[in-house]
Amino acid sequence: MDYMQPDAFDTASSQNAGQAAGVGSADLENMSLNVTGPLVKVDDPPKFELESYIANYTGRTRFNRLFLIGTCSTYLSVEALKAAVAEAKSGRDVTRYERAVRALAEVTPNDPEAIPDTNWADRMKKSVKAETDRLEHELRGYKNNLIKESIRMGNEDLGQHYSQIGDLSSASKAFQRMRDFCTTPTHIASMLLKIINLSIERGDWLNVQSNVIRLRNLQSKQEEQAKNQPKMSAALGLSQLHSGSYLDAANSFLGTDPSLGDSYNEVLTSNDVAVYGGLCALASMDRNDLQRRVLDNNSFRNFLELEPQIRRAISFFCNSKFRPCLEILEAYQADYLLDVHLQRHVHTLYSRIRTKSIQQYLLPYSRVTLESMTKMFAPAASALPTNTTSPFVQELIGLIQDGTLDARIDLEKNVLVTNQVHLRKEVQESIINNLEEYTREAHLRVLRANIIQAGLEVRADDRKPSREERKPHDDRGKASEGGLWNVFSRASGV
Amino acid sequence: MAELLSHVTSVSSRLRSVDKISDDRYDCQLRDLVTYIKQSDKNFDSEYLLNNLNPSHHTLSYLLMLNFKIKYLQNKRRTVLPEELKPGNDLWVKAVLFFRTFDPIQVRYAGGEWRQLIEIIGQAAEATAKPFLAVQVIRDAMLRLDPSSGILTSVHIIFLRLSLLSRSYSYALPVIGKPVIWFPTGSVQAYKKYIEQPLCSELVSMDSLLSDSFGFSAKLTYRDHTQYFLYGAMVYMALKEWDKSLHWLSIVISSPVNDSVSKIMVEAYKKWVLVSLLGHGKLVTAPKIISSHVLKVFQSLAKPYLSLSEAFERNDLQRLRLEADVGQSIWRHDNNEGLVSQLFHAHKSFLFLKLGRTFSALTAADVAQQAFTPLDSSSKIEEFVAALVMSGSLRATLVHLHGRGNGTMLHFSRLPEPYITRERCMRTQLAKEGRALEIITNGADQCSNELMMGNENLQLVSKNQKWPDTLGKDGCNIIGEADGGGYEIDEDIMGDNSK
Repeated sequence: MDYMQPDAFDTASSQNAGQAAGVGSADLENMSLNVTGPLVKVDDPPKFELESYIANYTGRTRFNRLFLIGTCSTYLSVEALKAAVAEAKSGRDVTRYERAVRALAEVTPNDPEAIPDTNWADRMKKSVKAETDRLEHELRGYKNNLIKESIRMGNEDLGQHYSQIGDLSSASKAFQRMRDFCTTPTHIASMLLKIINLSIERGDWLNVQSNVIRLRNLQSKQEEQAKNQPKMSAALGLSQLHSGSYLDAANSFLGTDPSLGDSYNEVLTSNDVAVYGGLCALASMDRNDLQRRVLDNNSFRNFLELEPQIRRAISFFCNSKFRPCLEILEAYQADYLLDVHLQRHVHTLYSRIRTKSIQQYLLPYSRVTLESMTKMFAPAASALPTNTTSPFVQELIGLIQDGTLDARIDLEKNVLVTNQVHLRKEVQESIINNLEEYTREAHLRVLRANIIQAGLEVRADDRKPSREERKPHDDRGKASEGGLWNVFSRASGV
Repeated sequence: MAELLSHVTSVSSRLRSVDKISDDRYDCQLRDLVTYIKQSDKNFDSEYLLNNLNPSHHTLSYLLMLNFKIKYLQNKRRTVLPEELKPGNDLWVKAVLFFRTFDPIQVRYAGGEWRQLIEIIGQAAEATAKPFLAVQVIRDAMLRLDPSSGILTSVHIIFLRLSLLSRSYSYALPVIGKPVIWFPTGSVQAYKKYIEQPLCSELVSMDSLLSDSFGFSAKLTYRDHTQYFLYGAMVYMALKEWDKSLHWLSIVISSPVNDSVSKIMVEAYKKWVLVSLLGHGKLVTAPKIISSHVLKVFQSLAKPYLSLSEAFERNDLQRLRLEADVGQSIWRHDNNEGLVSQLFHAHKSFLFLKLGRTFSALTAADVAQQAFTPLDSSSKIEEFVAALVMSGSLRATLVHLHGRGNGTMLHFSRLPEPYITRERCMRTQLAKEGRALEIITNGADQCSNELMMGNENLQLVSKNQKWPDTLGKDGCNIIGEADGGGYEIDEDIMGDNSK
């Protein structure tokens, strides 16, 4: 009888489920998508044009985004991967070049670009090695001279170099080492920003949060602070998005200053802020808050103008037109699935928005026909008969059973009936329950006090040895079970 | 003999109420009587005396005489249970008469004899395989002696054991329906010596007779009180009062432990798991006062039960069956087979309750599909639902559809009962809970008083008093000093630190 086995199996299966669904909270091991294999395959053509999309970004995120699109989208894979190969070759990171070429070879094995350029790779490796040695040597020299500013710059150069060649952990170590040699707040701010960017790329979201807080608490000039604010909010929002706290993420994105512009292109664009913020808000806020804090928010309006479909979706939701809202979101699903940060969260966000729409839709009714609800929320299934087999009804059942919907399904008349609340009855019942609970708890505690006072605690037995000798076999068996000394004697079964 | 009789009958509860004898004098009289009878010649004709004594007026004499007689017979026959004591025989009838009519005040002077008589009655009934005969007698005697029944005595345990043996569960309810709060203590708290009250006074409550010296209870050990609560829980289990049973089991598993856990507690935990499934459909959270290491011991020893409960909670009927089959020998060994076999029915009914929260109406065919189990044909479902509705655990109606095929429609109603009935029912329930709460609160108050006036606390207070002699505080109010004493400790510690 192995009772552990089912448990072990459960944990394993739940892990798999978590991975397959691609949702869940911050999972640092799997977070950087460019390390693990693609989780999602997107077959629909996205609405954006790759060329102009990627032109918005600079730095290492370009490659990460291209690579993700190339591995996930079947429609754009060749184009994106070729761009990724070119992007990698223009940089100095040999491993990512190799990875891109390998991925391309999987898609189009016969393409001339799918053959790795070993010549270039060898050359680059050598030059990288020489550069690393040179920088480290220089840094050692600075350290001997004990000039703080030089040491700081030497570390900065080294970090920059490491991050270029893709050795992110060494890069972050090099940046951390700058801390002791920073003399002005400006230096500290720039160091922290570098660490934040690096942590975002590594997917170390806890580190992002702690460094953002450090940056915020930094005493620096007003204008400096104002300059860093948008980046800070955006980075904080990203980390909150990845840890699954969507309301916080929405607040951070909503608080991002529109002066962000394209100054943070090495991580995200203003368009991204609009999309992330809009979706998080839609998934986590109620209609009042959405209207007041998103649509009527003057500074966030600047972002929303870049992504009009998000604004439309939110205003549809606020006006209780759920069908068009959901339609817009469905139309853009492919785009969002190809976003490096949003991919893992699209499904969770969408299902939350959907659940909220169903809840909001039900509010004014006391009973709704299942037919009209199907039309609203699952038009594809409206041709099917509404019985327990239809997926929409199954979804409703799920929602009712986990307590999200306070309603019941009437399969005779095919309606959804909202539950009537009898306040008086509820109050009375809760009073009785509380009373019972309290009495029981008090009884337990009084008994405990009195038992101790009477000296009747359970203690290792001090029975006469003679009795133990009489049933030595029995007692030993009990003792081996878990240090039990006492014999349960007279209980008869019920 | 007549002289003896007149002496023995000199003290009577009836005379007392007529003559308005003061408590002190009555106390003296009773004490004299006890010593007189105990010292007198043992060769008197107890038969004659017993026939002429009225057990309700001359309780004390009657009880002592009866005991002499039994002892005499025991010695004569060289057996613990003489023939005369067997149910239906002469002495049995006398004992029963005594327990039905004795005077609870007089009996205080002979607690030990009272208890011995109950014990022997119980033994006699058990020996003749008629435990039921003793159950009612002992119950009446216990309630007569102490109507609140708030103190656990060894008699309680004998009683519950007998009622379990005789399966007369509902006869036990009047006793176990009253919460036990107190336990007899070995030592008398010192302060009680200063509150002189004659034993016969109406003011002396049963709580003051707690201590072992009065003999109403044999010396208890931890095994006795855990056993008592386990037995009580088993009585409730047999009556399917899962909530109460769960509470009693919680008492057992949350008993304070010194170093090791007792096997009784482990057995109780196993039953607790099953009962919480049967009563609530899920594993309820264990009482918070159980310390975590004890809980861990329970969990490691009751693994099969926990995996059974997991299968139950997951609505996995297949696995539930499998677990139940696999652990067959374990359930049998633990005497829990009956409870385990009830799990399946409970599982089904909880499934229906859950359906009732999700649907307001559905056909029997849908039920079969929703229940995730091949609940066989719809007619079987119908039968099952009908049984549930009739038992009152499910509020639903069944409607036969004539138009569309011949399916059955199941309506779950959410309509509240008529206003008047509901209110009335609620009021009685509130009153009942209120009474229960009152008893517990009184118990708690008394317990805290007891602790405050207890030997340990008084010792601590007096020890603390000796320190700050210079303050010249002299005691006049013990409770006030208790507070003051605590305060002075603080001061002293501060003083030490500053040196």
